[in-house]
Amino acid sequence: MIGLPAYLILGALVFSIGLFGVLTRRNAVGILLGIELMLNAVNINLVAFARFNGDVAGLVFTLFTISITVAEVAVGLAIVIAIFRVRRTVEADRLDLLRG
Amino acid sequence: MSAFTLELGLGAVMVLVFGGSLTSRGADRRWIAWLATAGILTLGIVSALVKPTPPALSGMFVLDGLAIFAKRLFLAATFIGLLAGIGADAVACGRRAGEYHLLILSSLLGMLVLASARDLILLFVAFELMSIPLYVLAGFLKGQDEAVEAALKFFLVGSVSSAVMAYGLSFVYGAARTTDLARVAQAFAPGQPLLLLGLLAVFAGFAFKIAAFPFHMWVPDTYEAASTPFVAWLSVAPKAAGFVALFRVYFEGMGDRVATWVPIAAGLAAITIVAGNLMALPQQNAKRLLAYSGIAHIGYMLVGFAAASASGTAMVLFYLVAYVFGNMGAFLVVEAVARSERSEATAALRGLAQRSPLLALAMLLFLLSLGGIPFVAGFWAKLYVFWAAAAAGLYWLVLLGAVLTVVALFYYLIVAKRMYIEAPDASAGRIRLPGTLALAVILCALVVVGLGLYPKPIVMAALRVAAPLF
Amino acid sequence: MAPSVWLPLLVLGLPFVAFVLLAVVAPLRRVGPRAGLVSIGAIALAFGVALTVWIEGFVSETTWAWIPADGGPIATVGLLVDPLSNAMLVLVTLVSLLVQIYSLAYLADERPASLGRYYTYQSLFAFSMLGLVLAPGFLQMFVFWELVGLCSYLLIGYWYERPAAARAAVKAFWITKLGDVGFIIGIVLLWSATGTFEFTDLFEKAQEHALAIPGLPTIMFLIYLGAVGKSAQFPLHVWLPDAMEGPTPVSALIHAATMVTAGVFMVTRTEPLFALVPEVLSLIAWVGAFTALLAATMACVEADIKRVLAYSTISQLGYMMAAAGAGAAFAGFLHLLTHGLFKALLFLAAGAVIHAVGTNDIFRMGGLFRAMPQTGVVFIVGTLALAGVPPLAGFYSKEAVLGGVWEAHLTGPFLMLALTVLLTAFYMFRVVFIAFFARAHAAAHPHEAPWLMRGPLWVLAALTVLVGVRLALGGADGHEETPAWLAPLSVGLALVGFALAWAMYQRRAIDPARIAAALAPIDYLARRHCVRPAAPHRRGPAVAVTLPFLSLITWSPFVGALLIMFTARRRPRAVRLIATVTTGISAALSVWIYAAYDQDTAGFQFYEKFPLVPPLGISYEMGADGISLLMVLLTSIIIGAGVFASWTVTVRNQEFYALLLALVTGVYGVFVSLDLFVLFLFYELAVLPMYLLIGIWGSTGEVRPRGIFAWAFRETGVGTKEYAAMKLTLYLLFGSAFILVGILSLYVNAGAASFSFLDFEATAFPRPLQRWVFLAFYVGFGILAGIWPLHTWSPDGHASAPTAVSMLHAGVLMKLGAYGVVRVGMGLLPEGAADLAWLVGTVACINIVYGALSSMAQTDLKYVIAYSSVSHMGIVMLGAATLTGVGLNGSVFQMFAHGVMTGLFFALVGLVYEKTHSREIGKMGGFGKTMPGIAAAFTIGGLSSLGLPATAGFVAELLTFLGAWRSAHRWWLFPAVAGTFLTAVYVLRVAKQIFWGPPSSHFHDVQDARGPEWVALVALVFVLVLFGMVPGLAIAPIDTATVPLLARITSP
Repeated sequence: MIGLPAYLILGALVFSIGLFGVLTRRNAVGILLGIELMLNAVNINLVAFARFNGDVAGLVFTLFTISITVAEVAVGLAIVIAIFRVRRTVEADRLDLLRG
Repeated sequence: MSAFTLELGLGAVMVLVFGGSLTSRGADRRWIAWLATAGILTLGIVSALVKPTPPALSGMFVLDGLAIFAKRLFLAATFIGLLAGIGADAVACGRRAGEYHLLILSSLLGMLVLASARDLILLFVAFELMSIPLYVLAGFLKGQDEAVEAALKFFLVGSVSSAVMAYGLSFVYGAARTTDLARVAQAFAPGQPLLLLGLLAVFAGFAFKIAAFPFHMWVPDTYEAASTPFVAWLSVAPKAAGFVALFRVYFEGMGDRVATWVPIAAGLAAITIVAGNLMALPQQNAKRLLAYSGIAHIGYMLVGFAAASASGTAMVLFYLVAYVFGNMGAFLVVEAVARSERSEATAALRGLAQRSPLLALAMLLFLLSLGGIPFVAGFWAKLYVFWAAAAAGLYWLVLLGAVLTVVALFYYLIVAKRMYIEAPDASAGRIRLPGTLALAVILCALVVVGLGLYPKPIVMAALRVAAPLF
Repeated sequence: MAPSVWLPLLVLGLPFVAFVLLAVVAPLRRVGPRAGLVSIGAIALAFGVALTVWIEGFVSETTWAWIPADGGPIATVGLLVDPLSNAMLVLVTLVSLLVQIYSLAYLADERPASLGRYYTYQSLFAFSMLGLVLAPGFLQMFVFWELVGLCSYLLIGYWYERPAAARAAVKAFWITKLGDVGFIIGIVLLWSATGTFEFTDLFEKAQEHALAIPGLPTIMFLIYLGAVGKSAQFPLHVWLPDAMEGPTPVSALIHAATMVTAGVFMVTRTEPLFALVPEVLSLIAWVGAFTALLAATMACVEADIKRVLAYSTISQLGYMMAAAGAGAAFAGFLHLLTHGLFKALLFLAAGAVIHAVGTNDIFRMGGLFRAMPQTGVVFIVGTLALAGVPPLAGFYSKEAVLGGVWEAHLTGPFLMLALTVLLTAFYMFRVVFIAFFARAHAAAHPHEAPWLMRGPLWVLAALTVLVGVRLALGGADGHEETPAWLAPLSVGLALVGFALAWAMYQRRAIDPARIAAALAPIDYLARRHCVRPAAPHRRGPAVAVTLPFLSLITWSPFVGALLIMFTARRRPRAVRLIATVTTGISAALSVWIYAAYDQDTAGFQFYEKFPLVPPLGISYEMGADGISLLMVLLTSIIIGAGVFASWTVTVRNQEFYALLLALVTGVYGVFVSLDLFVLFLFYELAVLPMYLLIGIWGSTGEVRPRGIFAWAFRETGVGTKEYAAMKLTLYLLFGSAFILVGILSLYVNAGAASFSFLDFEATAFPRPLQRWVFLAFYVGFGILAGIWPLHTWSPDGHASAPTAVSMLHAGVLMKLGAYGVVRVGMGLLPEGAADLAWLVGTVACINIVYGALSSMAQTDLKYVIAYSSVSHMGIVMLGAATLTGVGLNGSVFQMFAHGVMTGLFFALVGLVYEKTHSREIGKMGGFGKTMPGIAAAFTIGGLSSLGLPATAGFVAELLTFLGAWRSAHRWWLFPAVAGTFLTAVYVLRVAKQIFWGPPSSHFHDVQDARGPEWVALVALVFVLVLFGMVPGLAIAPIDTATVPLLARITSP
């Protein structure tokens, strides 16, 4: 039987990988993927807790998280596309019109 | 009246606006803006009649004094923001008026729910409902490169912080075995590392939303690039919502354990005050200046939060009121001048006192209020949070905050100097501004002066609504 | 009153009446000779009365309280009439009378107005010297002592257009003032040890051997230093020769009867005290003898006839001091009297010579005996008397001195004095031979002086002979016989001197140049390093309660501001009218409450209260005690003057007055608020308008950004007056942050929901809390009071501000800081104050010295004044830090005095700037001619700021010094006193540069003050002098407030 800590560690790993991606990726789409991973780590946690606590609230929470993630990523991609149309690049480093 | 009166009302307004935008033809859709504004005004009047009700949705949704106080504030801020936008904001009143207003209204809906949320899931959903429209709005001036770029930055930082917050919430849920905040508080004990970790992660998410240092990076860029009436609203309403949620999560039902948060909040307050004020010093763009000064103000509110007491909470609420009107007013004056001068630099304010004395006077009042000078609202706000902090024994924080207000006054006075001491360009004439914008500025000024001369009712109300939290 | 009191009083009063008459009645002064007659008449009457007093031999002592204090007055004024003073009365009045008569002819060419000025000074001089002579105590003596110094300053600088005269006057003042520093320290120490200034008390104690104070020798030495300065003893003798720049009759007066004799008189008067300290006495004798010898050698090589006489005076003063030091004070005093006669004679005769030939240079004279035989004869009589030839007066007194010194077994001094006898004869006959008997060089045709001049000469010559004969017949009047060999010895030495002179100058047998070079190295050094050689001597042309009173006072200007903002748009006259009326209401009411304040009840009166925010305990609570009362009065005076001083503001004057009046409301509010929270609000109201006032109406381009703010200003590209405005505002708000924290922490810790001062006062705060809250208040309010090193906003701000704002700010707002420290800091946190007093006092000392030094280095007029404020605020803080009743009174008094005089200064600077559009001291000069009124007012302000008696500044500084010595940190006294000396240096330097000397070529058509501008000046000067003369006016109410305050601090 795999215990709760194992799931939590898995969640933490996924979260860390996502965060690492966010921090190191230059490409806006890459950063979006990192954020997606971080939110999935949340889902892993929630499902694991729900399972081990014997409580459905966590599963409900997971459903909400997933739908919110979708909305968020949709908005994010829309912005990325908007920016690509104007600037022909989605490299975060090149986005330097605003400084100071 | 049901617990959801305001939310339902807002939904109705959204339906009206949506329907209107579908049926409307032609480029000038100002009437949609009027419709939305009128709707918010009506809701505002209704909110004055709202009374606390017992918790609804099996305790998930509360309409207590704090929530009502916060909702009134959100509605007032939104009303002024929309009012100023009419006629001032070409995009907001043009072809896409429907989208613009719908987005603002859905964000507002998120805030209204957030103020009442006493459940982790509801809290998270409301939080995202408030945030996601903001990302879109920040990039709403699609033609401008800066706007989209700012929107992307805002979005990326915001999403990461949402993820961090959600991750924290998952731990809170797991450790407390419940999503009800009241019971989370009861489960909170020193021997719960997971719960503490979760709450800390959530705190980071909030810190982002209220733009405390070092989660502030999105603020100046977004403010500079987005349209000013929207920024005026953005700079106050979501932050107010963030603070109300902070109180819910960290204070409600915590009892004596609130002391856990004091060192964290005090440290965050201190660095936010210092960083915000210092970074504001070299700014030449009025909106960036106000952005950084806004960060510093968040620091001052965190001082009240750090007091971790009923009076501290009340004083933050009062501070929020003063800040909402003072800051919005200042942004709107910048907008008025920028429309005439095509420049948002502080230099554009040169000689304003001789060009438009009343506008300059209003700006001076806002600046003095932000600077914490007697006889305008901001003074009492600062005084009260210092007071609460002193009562909590945080003398060092009070001294630090008080000393840094002097730094803040430096850059506010530079603006005052441009308006009052420097002479205007020879070619510059009077500044003409749309009636709605003028009305918005006047409303802000009246509130700022009124609260400066007679702060008592708001202070008493804030004290009343904050007391049950503890 | 017995005649023994009122007759001497009459002697004292007559010249004073003449002075006041001449000073106040300008038309009378301007007619010249007739003004002289008033003065002469008065002094002649006084002489007559003095003669009566002397012949009748009155003895009495009468005193009246002067500076009140708990448990008997600190100081008294009065008359001490005894043979010593009687003789001096006669001498002073006689010489003054003759000099004044003589001057009538001597200065006949002067412009009438300037002659009137001359006689005004003369009367004041006589009055001062008589007051000194009659003084019954050290303090009064010091007051008149300083007045004498002032008069000599005025008279030496009479021809103020001549740079040399201006320089000499300033030098005389500085150097004598240097001695006075010792004097004042000495009497302060003596007072703190014995509790009295009175001679009689002191003498009694001395007799009962009750004066065994440790350090008495030091004290007496310090007092002696005063005499060293005044009586031109080595090494402070350097001023006297230069003082010859004044008109010759003035020299006669100074040398014969007034200024220089003051020191000798003082030592003689206090001989019983000096007798207790033999080591000081022998020092006096040695210094005196050395001075006598040194000055004689210098006289031997001098070519200027007046300077010869001047060195001779120094030399003879050396005799007198040596006698006093040898315990033969009577002999010294006798020599003083006889010397007074023949030195006056010599000077007046020299004056007649100068008048005739138009030069001071003896080598350009010659053969004068034939041209003016009468003058020649009297000069020779004087010379013989000075050389000590029997039976003339000088012989007997000099012999008595020599005998006394010999009897005291002071062989060294005796030998020096004996040698001096020889030299005296030598240099005097040198002059006689060269000037009167050598071949004539003079281009002009010398002629005998008019009768008005010759008359006094003959009178003096006759007296010299008569007194000599009288002494020859009467012997030494019951005093010890001198050794029999002494008379032949001294006569023999005199003859040798005569022979030498004859050989060198009449027969030309010896080359004088070589001897001269050998004999005068010290003089060379002294001149090289201390004295700039005076310009060639050439006489220039002569020129010349049921109402809420406190609320009414506070809000009246605010109502004025509102009225101005809303009703007087673009109507400057209405603006000024409203400003005048509303501040006038405040002023009238503040005088009223000052008069109505019940000193017996003390405490806070005119109490008002109503709640503002009841749940938080904020209420509008006002009340005034002695301190606030005085501060309110000060504010009224300054703002009244400020309104008039800014009469000429025309740019945006509506806003200007509105802001100014709003600011004044803040100031009043701080002084009378008893609710700390409301006090804080008023404080902010007082500070903030300053930003716009300076930023908009300030003068730009003269302040260079410095320090950390300079960086920020480069970034924002701001000009310099904005810089000053910003710096000032930020510093003060920085301070207010500390104040706010302090107030909040008191509120939180007191527990009671109230901000009331009275409630806090009733709370005992724990000691550690007190300590750091006091520190917060000290820093917070102290910034406004300009404490070092947080004072830097003040010079920049004041220099940039418009006149009225500078006046108000330096005059009142800085006081507000000091007031805060005293009232809030010390009043509420007594233990904290006691613990930190060392810090406050030490910083204050730094302030005093640092401010004065910085002031000296400035070239911008406003900066000079601004730094002087920093220095003076140091005195205020020092007084408070002493934690003594006297010191606190002094502190509050200084707040008031400094407020008035700084207001005056800034008003004057404003006027000067307005008329010249420059504040560069270096470019100015000679304004005394074009704007005499401003020059006079500036001088009075300056004198007050350097603590001259009879001005408010003196009383304040004196009390502070007394307090400093009584405090736990005695050394504070020394930097404080040094500060006043430095003040004298820079104030007089500035006055000299700006108002004196030849008119500057940079400015034309500069006019004196006009119309409303006068109102400000006259009012401020009046207050300054009034409170200096009658300090009780202020001290009585202050005392009611400081006594309970102190009781709280010192109670365990």
